[in-house]
Amino acid sequence: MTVFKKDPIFWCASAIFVIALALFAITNQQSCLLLMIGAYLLRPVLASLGPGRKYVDERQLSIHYRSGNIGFAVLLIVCAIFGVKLEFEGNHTFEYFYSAIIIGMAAKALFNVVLVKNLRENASKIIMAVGLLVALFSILDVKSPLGMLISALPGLVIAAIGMLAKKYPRVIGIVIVVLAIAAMIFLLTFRKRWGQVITAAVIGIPLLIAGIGLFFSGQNSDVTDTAPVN
Amino acid sequence: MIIYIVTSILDFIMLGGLMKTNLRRFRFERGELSQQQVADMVHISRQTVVSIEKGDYAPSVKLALLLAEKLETTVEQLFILEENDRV
Repeated sequence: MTVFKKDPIFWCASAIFVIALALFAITNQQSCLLLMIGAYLLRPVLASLGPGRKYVDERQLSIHYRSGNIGFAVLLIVCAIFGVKLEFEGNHTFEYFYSAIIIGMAAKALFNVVLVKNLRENASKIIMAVGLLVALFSILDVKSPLGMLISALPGLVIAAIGMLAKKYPRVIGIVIVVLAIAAMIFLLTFRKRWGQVITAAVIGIPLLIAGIGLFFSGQNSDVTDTAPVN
Repeated sequence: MIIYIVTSILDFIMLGGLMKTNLRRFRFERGELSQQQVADMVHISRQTVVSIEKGDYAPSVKLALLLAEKLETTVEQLFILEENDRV
């Protein structure tokens, strides 16, 4: 009975593991051991993304998905506990843990939408969600109704653009890509706080993916939600 | 986040995919094939064959069709839909 399946993924993961150990031995830096995460996650990640699919059968893949979900939930709980603990201690590094939670959940939500594979429909949803999120966070610190409206305006404009995305996919795709790049440059150039980097990632990356998706979905004008033809 | 954690726990508890099967019987009727031989025929692991035979795992339509084809039978004969599956 073999414990490990000796396929190319096994040898790649073993190589990463050995490199991590060798780097640790040379540098004596524990951070080198973090490379082992790559060795551990190589099989499920390659299987999920496609290239490693032939080395994992459907039951094993389903186990990877389920254990991944549970592992992610545990990670969120641990991050939340550490974040709350540090916040109560007055230690501002709690922001790192909250950022990890936000990025993890945003990535999951984004991939949930992208993996459905209806680019035009989903890009529109992503743009509207990001727009509404921006609008919501913009009004948090504002007291007057007029101030709220003005603060929420950029987010509402993005959401409105998202509503038009299905009708004019290529034009809106280009507009969104330009907007995403501009937003990221703005956030990363003028304010270099850690929170701004997270904001740039959470706002910019989904918009960029949505914009590129829309642009390419506009090239073929097939409508996927039509009734079946008998 | 709380909703996500609760659904993950529910997903863990409700281990879906229970399915009654005649795979073991057909395996013996087709020349006493071993679990490993059946696994190799359809390119899955032996553990997956074990799980299907025990009824712990319901295979995909593609795998069910492949198994039926290799064992010269039909999916309906290989897998049995029970009354509580219809609920």
